[in-house]
Amino acid sequence: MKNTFYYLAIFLGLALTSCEPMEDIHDEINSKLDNERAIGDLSYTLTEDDYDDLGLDFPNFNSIDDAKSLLPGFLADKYPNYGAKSSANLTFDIYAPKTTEKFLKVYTVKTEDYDAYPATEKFDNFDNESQIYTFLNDKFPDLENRTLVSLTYKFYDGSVKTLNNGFLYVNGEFTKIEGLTDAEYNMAGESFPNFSTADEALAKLPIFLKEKYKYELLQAGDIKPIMYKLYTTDVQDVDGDGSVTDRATYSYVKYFIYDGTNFTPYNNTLSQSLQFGNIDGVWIPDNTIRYSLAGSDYSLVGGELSATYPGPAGNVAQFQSFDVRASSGNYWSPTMLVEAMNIVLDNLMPNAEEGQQYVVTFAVYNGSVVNQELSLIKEGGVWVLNQ
Amino acid sequence: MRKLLALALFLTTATIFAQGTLTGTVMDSDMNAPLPGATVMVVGTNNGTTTDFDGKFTLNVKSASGTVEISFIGFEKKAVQFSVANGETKSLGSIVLNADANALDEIVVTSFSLAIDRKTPVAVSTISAEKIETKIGNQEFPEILKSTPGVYATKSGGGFGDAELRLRGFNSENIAVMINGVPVNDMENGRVYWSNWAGLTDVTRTMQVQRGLGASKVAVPSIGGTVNIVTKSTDMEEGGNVFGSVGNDGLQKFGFTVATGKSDNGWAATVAASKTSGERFADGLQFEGYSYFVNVAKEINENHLLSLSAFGAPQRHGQRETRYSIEDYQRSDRGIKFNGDWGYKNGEVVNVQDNFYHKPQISLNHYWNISDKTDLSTAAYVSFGTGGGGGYTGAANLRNATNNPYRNADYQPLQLDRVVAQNVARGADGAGTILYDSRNDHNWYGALSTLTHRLNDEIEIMGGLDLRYYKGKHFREVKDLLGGQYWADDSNVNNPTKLSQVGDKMAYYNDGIVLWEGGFAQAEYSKNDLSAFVSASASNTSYKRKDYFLYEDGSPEQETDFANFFGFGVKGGANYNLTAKSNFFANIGYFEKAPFFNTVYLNNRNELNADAENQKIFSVELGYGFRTSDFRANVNVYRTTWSDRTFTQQVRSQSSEIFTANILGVDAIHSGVEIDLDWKATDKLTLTGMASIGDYKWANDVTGVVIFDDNNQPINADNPINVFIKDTPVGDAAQTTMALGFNYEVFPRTYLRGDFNYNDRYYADFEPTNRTVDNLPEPWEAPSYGLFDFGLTHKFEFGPFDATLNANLFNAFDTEYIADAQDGRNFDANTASVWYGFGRTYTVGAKIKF
Repeated sequence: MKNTFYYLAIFLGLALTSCEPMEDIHDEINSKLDNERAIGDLSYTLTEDDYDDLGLDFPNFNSIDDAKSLLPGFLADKYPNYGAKSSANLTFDIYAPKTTEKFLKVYTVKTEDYDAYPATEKFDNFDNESQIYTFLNDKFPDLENRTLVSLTYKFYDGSVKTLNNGFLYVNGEFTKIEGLTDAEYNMAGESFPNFSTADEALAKLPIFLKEKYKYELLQAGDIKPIMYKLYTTDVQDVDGDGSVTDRATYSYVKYFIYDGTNFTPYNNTLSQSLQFGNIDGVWIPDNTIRYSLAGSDYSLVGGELSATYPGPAGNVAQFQSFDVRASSGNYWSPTMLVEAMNIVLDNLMPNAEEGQQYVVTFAVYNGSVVNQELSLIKEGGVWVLNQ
Repeated sequence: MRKLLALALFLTTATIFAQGTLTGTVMDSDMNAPLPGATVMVVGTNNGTTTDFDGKFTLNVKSASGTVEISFIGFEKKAVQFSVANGETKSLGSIVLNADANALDEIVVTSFSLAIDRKTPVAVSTISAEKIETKIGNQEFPEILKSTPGVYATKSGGGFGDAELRLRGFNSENIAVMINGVPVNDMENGRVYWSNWAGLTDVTRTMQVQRGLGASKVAVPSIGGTVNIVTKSTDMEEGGNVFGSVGNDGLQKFGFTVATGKSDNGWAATVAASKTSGERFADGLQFEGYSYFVNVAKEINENHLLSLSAFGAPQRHGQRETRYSIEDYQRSDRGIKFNGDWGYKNGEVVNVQDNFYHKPQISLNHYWNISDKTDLSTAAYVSFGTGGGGGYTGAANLRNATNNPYRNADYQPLQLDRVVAQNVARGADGAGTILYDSRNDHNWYGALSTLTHRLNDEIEIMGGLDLRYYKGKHFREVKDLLGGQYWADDSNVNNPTKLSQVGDKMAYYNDGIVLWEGGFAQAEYSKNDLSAFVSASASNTSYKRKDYFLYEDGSPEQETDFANFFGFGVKGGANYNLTAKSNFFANIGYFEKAPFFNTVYLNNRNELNADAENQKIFSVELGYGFRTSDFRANVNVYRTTWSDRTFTQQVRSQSSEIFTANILGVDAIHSGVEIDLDWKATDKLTLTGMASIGDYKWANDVTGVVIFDDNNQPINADNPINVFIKDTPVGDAAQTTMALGFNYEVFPRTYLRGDFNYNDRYYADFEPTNRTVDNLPEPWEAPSYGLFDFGLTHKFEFGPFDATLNANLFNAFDTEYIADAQDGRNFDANTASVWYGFGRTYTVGAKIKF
């Protein structure tokens, strides 16, 4: 009887200790889940208030690097409920100023100017742009930085035309900025070769630019400069008559950005998008895309590799999972899996840039069907394991 | 007085035939109540039976007079003399057993290769009809065995009929399952699909587990052991019963049994049927199942008896095919009930992964008493399986539980309406995603014949034939186009641009044809306290494959020749009854098992691997039994070596030619000790206990295997095959199991029972040949767990009828535990894919006999 009770006691002990067999494992997982934040996949464009909140004086960042350093904190503040594995695609502005004029000179090239140079003295016109730069350097040796020379000159290019273009003097060098010809002002509905107001110029120039560059393959984000003229108060006395209250023709440099359809005035900021990922609670710039294979992907791999790996390829197409049992005749080794993912990703994103990262999820069969993840990065034109 | 029927225990392969028939009722003297499960044995023979739930028995006897001995654990043995005229049915009336007496034997009928206590030298546990009837509840067949040593039984995904049985660490393809003596392991892959027999528990008379080599004479794959299921035969009396039960999650079950009794011209029939429906503990497991059992018997004359029986259990049930991580279950609102393999279409539940099958098993048994010393029993049987499993294919992901656009949110049911909308939008381009059924139909014809001859009082010899023809048809068919116009299927070379409609075959279509010719011979010696046997069996298995999709019609490639594989086995054993209380036995055996179909034809193509190797099994076992009137104990020690487990590897040569290597040397050793106890502590209290401590592990590494081509040039010299598994534990079976149970008569005819089952050292399932790197960690060991089940049975009189109320509570404390696990890449809890066992479930039922 003693023994019986002894064994009973052993069983009772077993019974009590085995009542909550999953307790430790569940506690561990649940403590992880308790610390877990929501997984967001957000897309957001920063507003002026957001730049304010970031302590910026202007609604833009000075550089991409500034944005990369400031935006993780911004995300943490704005999305406190989001945690690890979240991703964010943020759109914001970068300050990227284009140089315009601070000072203006207006000049029409005279006969004696052409005569001063052997190359132009015969026909009294330019026929080569370098002649213009030589002339400008001689004529205006002491220009203040960022002086715009609005130059009216004759140019031979099959026939002699009278042109008015700008030459912006920046850091010792002239940069040509095309203006409008008289005929073009006329086309824009102007009786005189200038616009009446700046607003009118900003309204009409996008139309003019779209026409001017209609044969050029423009891409969104292309920036084009233009010089235009206004008849306005001569505050700088550019006509040299000593009066700063009369009116004169002024030239201005203005930049326009192409948005894919139209030109709009460029306000010295560029719109940029950056992908951020939340790794273990910290937001970091990240270009990783997460992708789960669809049924068609398995079929694609099966088809593409049917000659190379007949057995495994047929198997994956049929069962929509990769057999990863090394003993199987249809075994997909780790190397073969990377090969398969190359096919999937090249199909998915044929023009992916170097450095693009993917985390792909796919079904494998190891006795039962389970999910496996592979982290890949495009290097040298192929997808390799992202260690 | 009711009509009584004289019938032998037909369906039998052993040697019994009626001179006459004895009937009677065994009563408990204390209670003056019927005693179910008592053993009735003709003295000096192997002929015997057990009493039914009402203490009644019917026993065919070969001699005109003799003695029957009635015994039951905890009761005094009683001998009753009889004399019976040829063909007569004689009632012995009420036989009262007195409690507490001499040592007792638990004796079991000899038919169907069932083992006899203190005689057959194998480790055995027998589950009586009463135990099945009272304890089965909503459990599956294998689970009724869970308190048996060496058994680990689970519900797999939890669908109706979905169950897995492991015996001494071996899975079902290494466990022979025989119903009424007919093997039912799949002819192609050896597996046992318990859902084919899901309703059969209602008509089961007894279930016996023989661990290790077993007592079967025919060649069967009993590496782990043999499970014998014996159905009820024709009832001897006119009458029947109706029963009904309800349980958790809408379980409803009702059924009946009616027996005509024997008519004057020798005919008798029994019919039983039941219906079970409901949902299951886990989600998305709706099911409906039926079972039927028909037996018609005709006594032609005194030397010939014919019996026809047919039974089957058609069912359809939702499945939980996908295993998830523990974290997934924790994240899901549904917790351990989570199942991702189902959803809604048009507001109706759709089980994307499901199973439906109907496998009627029909057998015609002939029993021929050739002479006093010679009998021939023959069973001709046929079984037609139709059904398969559902699944999906296409671009839509109908599996992933998270980040899935076909769910409203992570872990929510699938929204199949979204697939329908996409398929409709695809219009003339056909469905992008569909549901299919993977069909596995088969026709199986077999004959099993045994000739028995008694040389003298001590020696009996027998021999027989086991012939089988099996044709399996494997194909996939479109089940639901989900709104698509068609499914574009390019897998049939004879029709490569097929626009498949519902019911059309797709993806694959092939036949597997298996021929089996087996023979066996056995000699048994029995005298006084010593009994011994030696047995040999041989079988030739032939496989042919016919593929209608991969090869052109008319091409000779479409059909292979038969590939033949020869297997054989020898075993022997002896039992010695040292005293009236103690017996010792030992057995030893060796057999070779033919490879399975998918090893012979690789990659599901007509690619013959003619050199596929036999697996070799060597087993040795010692047993000790101790019996007193109120106490029974068994101790077994065994060691089974499983050598050259099938391991086929394909290697590509530099010229891209594929070589198939049949790699030998992947061996496992399963050894252990098993103890079980049965103690009738008082008149009202019975205690049972069991402990089984196994050591199942892989025996050795297989490294540096280089394969040579026809010119003896190595083709994988740079990349030899390695498998590092030495001392790695075998997965997917609890290696330590224990059980403790009681049955207490609280009030007269009211029984309360409790069972505690404890499972330990369960290592996650893994493919040993995938361990190609040295020094990997051991597979993940799931937490050990213990479960309590309680039950209550109350018997009473309901007007003129006997009635029983029965209730079961499983996993009473709602313990959360992992029953099945697949090892993950980090060999730990976080990466394992698991199925939890069920939480608390219950059934309550009533049965009225008429």
